Amino acid sequence: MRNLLFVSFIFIGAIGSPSPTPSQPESSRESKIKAGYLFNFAKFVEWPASDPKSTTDTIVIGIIGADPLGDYLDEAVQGKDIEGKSVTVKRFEAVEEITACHILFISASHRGNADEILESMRETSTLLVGANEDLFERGCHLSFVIKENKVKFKVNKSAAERVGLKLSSKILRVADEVIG
Amino acid sequence: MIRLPWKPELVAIGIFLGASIAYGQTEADTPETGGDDFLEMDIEELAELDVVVTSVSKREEKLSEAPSAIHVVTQEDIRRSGATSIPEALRMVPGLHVARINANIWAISARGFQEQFGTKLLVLIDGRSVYDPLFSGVYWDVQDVLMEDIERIEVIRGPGATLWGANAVNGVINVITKNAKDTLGGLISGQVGSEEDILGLRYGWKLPNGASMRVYGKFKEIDAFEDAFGEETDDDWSMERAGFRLDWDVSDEESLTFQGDIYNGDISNQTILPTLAPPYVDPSVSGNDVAGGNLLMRWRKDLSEELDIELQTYYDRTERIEKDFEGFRDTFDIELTTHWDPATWHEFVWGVGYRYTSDEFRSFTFTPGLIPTERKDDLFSAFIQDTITLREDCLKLTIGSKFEYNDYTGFEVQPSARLAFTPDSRNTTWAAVSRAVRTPNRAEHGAFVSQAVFPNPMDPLAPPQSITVLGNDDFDSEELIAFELGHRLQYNKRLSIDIAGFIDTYDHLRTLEGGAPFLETEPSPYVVLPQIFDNEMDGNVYGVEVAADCQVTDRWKLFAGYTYVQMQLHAEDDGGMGFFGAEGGEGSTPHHQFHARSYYDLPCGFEFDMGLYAVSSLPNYGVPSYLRLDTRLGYRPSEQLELSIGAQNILDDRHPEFGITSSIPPTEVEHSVYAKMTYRF
Repeated sequence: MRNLLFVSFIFIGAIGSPSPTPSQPESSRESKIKAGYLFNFAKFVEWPASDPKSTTDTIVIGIIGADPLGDYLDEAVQGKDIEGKSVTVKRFEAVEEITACHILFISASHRGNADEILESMRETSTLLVGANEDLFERGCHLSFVIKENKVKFKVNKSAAERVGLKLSSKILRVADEVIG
Repeated sequence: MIRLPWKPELVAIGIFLGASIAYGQTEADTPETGGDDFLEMDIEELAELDVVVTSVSKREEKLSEAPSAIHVVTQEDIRRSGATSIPEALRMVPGLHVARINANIWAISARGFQEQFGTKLLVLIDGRSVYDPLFSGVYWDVQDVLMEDIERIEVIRGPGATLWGANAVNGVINVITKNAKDTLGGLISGQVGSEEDILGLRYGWKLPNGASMRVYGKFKEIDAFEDAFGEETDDDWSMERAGFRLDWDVSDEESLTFQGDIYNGDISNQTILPTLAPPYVDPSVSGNDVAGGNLLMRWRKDLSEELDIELQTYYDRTERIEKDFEGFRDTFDIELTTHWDPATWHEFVWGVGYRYTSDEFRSFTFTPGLIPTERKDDLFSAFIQDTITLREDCLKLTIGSKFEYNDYTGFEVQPSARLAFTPDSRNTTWAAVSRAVRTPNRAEHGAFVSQAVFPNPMDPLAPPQSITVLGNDDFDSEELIAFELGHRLQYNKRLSIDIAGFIDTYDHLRTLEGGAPFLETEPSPYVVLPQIFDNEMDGNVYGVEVAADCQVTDRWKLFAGYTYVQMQLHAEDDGGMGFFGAEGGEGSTPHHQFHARSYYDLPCGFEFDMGLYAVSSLPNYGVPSYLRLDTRLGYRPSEQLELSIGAQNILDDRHPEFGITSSIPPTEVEHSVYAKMTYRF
């Protein structure tokens, strides 16, 4: 390198406004793809035989938080079934409201009390799906990640198996990353 | 006069036939509804869906339904092809002609008219135009980004003028870098090789208010290429650049982006300049200094469910000092775009913009000259486009027009109509008719450039004579009316095919016309034999682009693309010099181009990738056809570390890709090897 190293690091000082937890403006297409994934997870996960969830005739997908995919999922599950079982969508706003569900999707807006949610769900065999990588690190079994303009997901296999969930190889193969 | 030749109709019929055969062969389990039921999709399908495509209609749109010939170069394509610069990454795009003239100059165009300053291709980096109004082309040596920061490169072949303005005649290339929130953490990327040494550094972090930011530095040194005899020439160069990007999702409805870059480089080229004294030529090497920078801001806000606005503004400065001239340019641009979806069957996009550009040009020798030496130009533009859903999830008509007022030709209108037919989720047929113009550049209106000087053949003591290219105040815009037709088929989960055909009818194409000689006295007396810019050529260009993408097995992905272009140009009296004449124009673009790529994921984190390029000859320059094979072996033991070695152009010691155009002689692309390491933390 003949000339002086020419590095300019422009530092923009902390724009210190106590703004609300920013959530990412999501296109509806991204939400629809994630909804499609949730439906697929319900297809390819086995709940433990000892748990009533494996024998009910309705699969419940719970959504906590203000995620746009909820509206699409609500409509789209009408008239569909997974191996004969109907599918319903339940929405929660606070941790206390959460009732039994097969899958719980944690929105980015609930990042703040993610630890609380995960703690309360720890003993249940509910599949925990997080909206982003941050939630994955806090202990969700799966979470979405956008890579190269496509929606992918990560899997924490050991965490899921620890609560008795069995993930089909189909999920593991398509996953962008499998840990544990 | 524009005559439509009979052959392109065969091409169009061929495409119709191909599309009907394709319909017949789509699999029986094609879903009945034309719409997208994401819950019906397989998990593998969901993983392959693109979220957005933005260039085609200036709004987020599913790529498979876009009514244009569009190709996306992904970050993975860049990584696995070993491309170290944007021009090299563009080689794999069907329909684009990429020829490397020497180590630091590329000739890139789409659908014909390949030349060093390809005038009919608009290139943007994150929305900032890098199309230089001096020559209507792109100086590719200074357009660079950290390759790992590229999210994708969207390339649309065909006129994009309705949305993107004049000069997007044959295509729009949009290089899109990653949002800062996707580049958190550190990255060190180092590459050494027989031709190039590159170091890239980047660090990204989150700010207290939730915004994300990154800064980067990139340093590269590139060796000279060889000439036809294997002798090293003088086109080596080095560049250093640094920049930042800040992205802030203020809320669910509002986002803000700031980005900027600065660069500085030394570029060496043998530059053959005519002189007024014997031996009338100075072939010495020029050490060029290039520098520049830019700053851009983009703000987007959803005002309601139906209405959103985006404001973008940028400042760009370029400086170029060569042995014969120095040029400086400042550009300021501001654009406001609005998306409005009042009812489910109308989607409006409209916008207004203003661009101001100011330049200074100083010549160190008697040539080249530019008149005036300083110029300030305003460009006012507005556009409107509506996408009308004629039949839900089935037929959409997009009509619109751009209106511009520029300081050379005044008012220009560029309308287009595009139709997209999506009978089911696997097939899209589209057709389009558009008008686009290529506005004059500074050189065409004000050049005074000597091409060659020789002594008076009758009297060696008389003043020498110079064939000089002169600008013309009346030089008009080149005009295109394009007819396009294409079909996209998602044959099954693994295979997709894309076909696009076009018939481009041109008028007022640039020529050089001989003028009356006159005596010039500065700096010393010589006779000017003028070649004056004019618009005396018309003609047609037609062709077809086919591409297929196949996930052969879970580990093996193949891509293949073929491009055919035929130019039939007609100059009023076969205007003037070499490549500006009709035959020259026709013979500067290869008729056939073929490209194939293979990505193979081996066990234990190894990857083996290959790229094959076959390009037919350039008769105008006597450049023969060539075949190029690139290979790469990668190893990714973890998320953090990636190692790779590659050998490029292994079938040849060297080969030329283009001929002499300006004052710089072409050199040959050599074979090369490299080793690269990328570490993330």
